[in-house]
Amino acid sequence: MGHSPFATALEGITAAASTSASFVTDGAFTCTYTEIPGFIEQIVQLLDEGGTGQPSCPIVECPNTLAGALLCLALMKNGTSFVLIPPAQGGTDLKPAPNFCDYRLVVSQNAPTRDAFAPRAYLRKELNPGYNGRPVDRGRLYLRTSGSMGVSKIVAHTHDRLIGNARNVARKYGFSAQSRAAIPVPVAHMYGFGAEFLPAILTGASIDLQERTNLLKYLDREKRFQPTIVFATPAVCEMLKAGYKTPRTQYEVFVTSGQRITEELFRAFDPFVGGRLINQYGSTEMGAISACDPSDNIELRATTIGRPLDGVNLRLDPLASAEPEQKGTQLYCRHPYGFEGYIDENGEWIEQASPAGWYRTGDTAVRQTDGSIVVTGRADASVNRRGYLVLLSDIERVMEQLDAISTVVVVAGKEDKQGPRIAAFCVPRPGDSVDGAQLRARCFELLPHYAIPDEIHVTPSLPLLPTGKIDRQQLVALIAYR
Amino acid sequence: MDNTLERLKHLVADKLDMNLKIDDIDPDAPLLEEGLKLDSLAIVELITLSEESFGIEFGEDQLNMNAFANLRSLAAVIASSRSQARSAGTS
Repeated sequence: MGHSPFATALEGITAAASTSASFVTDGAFTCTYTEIPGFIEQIVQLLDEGGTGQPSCPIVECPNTLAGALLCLALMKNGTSFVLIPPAQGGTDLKPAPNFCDYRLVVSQNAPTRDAFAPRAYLRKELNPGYNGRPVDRGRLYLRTSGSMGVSKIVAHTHDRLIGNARNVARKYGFSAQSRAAIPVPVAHMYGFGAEFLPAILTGASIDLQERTNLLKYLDREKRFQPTIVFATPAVCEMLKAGYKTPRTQYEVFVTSGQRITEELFRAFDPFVGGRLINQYGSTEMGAISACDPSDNIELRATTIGRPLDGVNLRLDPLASAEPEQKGTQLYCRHPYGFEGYIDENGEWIEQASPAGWYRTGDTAVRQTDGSIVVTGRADASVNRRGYLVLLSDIERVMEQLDAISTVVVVAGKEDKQGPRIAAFCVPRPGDSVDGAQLRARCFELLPHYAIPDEIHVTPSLPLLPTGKIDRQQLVALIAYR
Repeated sequence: MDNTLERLKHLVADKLDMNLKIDDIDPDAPLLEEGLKLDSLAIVELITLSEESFGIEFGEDQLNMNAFANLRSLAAVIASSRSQARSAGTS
């Protein structure tokens, strides 16, 4: 078995960290960097048991625990390809495995005791009944995209470029063996894994993994771990703003990402973390793309995504669409450590990407005179509802299947706690009579819960622009003044 | 104290957006995952609602898992905060 680039990197780190006091913890169990190679070796042995020697690709359900983190490190060190997903919440239902995965690795949520920290105590290996026997490339990480309407694509990354991305992030934020990185976001997503966990590991930083955090858990862990770096979401910022009674001074950088943070929340929360709040722009496909520096002034940090990371290029192109609500220019990104492409459930390429190519982010943006970028919205009309990115056109496509409807237009309305409300305007087929409540009931069968319109209006006709296109702005105004 | 607990139960049933019925609320059930299953958003909401409705402000040292273990423990913390506030007000 060849020596993977990650194995080389890890050797250097664990050797250097042997003289530091750095550790990785999940609150229940802690290990030092010098102990990591031994634990990894045990996992590798267990994975090799009963193997055919053929390259295999497990799907890994990884919680934010030390056991989960060590498993990922073992797979990376081995150069093994794997699909990384967060564990199923609550129930015992397993998330579907792609057909190119030969087996599934489930990490127990119950932390093993230190005495019994043998992989067998926390790791379950199950064969995937749908395995199609298709050979997979080595050294890949596969992540599912959040997918607007359940049509998820699988994003392929090489381990090499993940390491490049991680080093880039580490440089940007000054990760070191003295850093203390708290991870309250899922370590099974690109943000938690590629932008925080790997940079922390590759610099020998101390790490605190928090599984399903809430205000009380976070305050408790913060007190004990005293993090200097944290990667959070706007929801976490909102939560801490409600719970913090006094400002924190220990943070060197407090990163928020995942979805856009409102300027209001940014300005309100920033003083609580010592003015070190940063809005990072990135994606599952590209990893970290752009961010301000903690030393930038509040105006820049609250309103822009700063400047691209080393080697990353951003380009702005005029929008092709003439939709009136979509302003600005479209953001494209060329990334030296970007993804390799999309594959489907059978492991076949859907689309291949190249580091030299421009990736369409789907966001609209403008560039300020100082070079910083302001993201203004989505190029495809979409909303972030209940934490999910929903393309309005996808809802329209699904609702058009309803028999009684001839035309449907979906717009984003006033914001409530869950994001912008989703409103659908439906024109019934001639002779059909339906009401909004009936249609909404049907939507429960067709759409995921987060994409069901909050209000459905049945109307005989829709307002039109002089060009003959539907006047979406007028529909938005209709619900705004209701 | 019992009065505080009753008010707290009503607060959870009526104001908290969790679809919990007053008769189904066990004051000794854990607030988090295994019990009333309050999520991260609901915990913050419960804190804010309690502060508003009882006219108190939790100290950060009170925002911990022991105080928020269940509604009975939370009622005790609220009751003691209120009596402290009252005695501070009269002194």
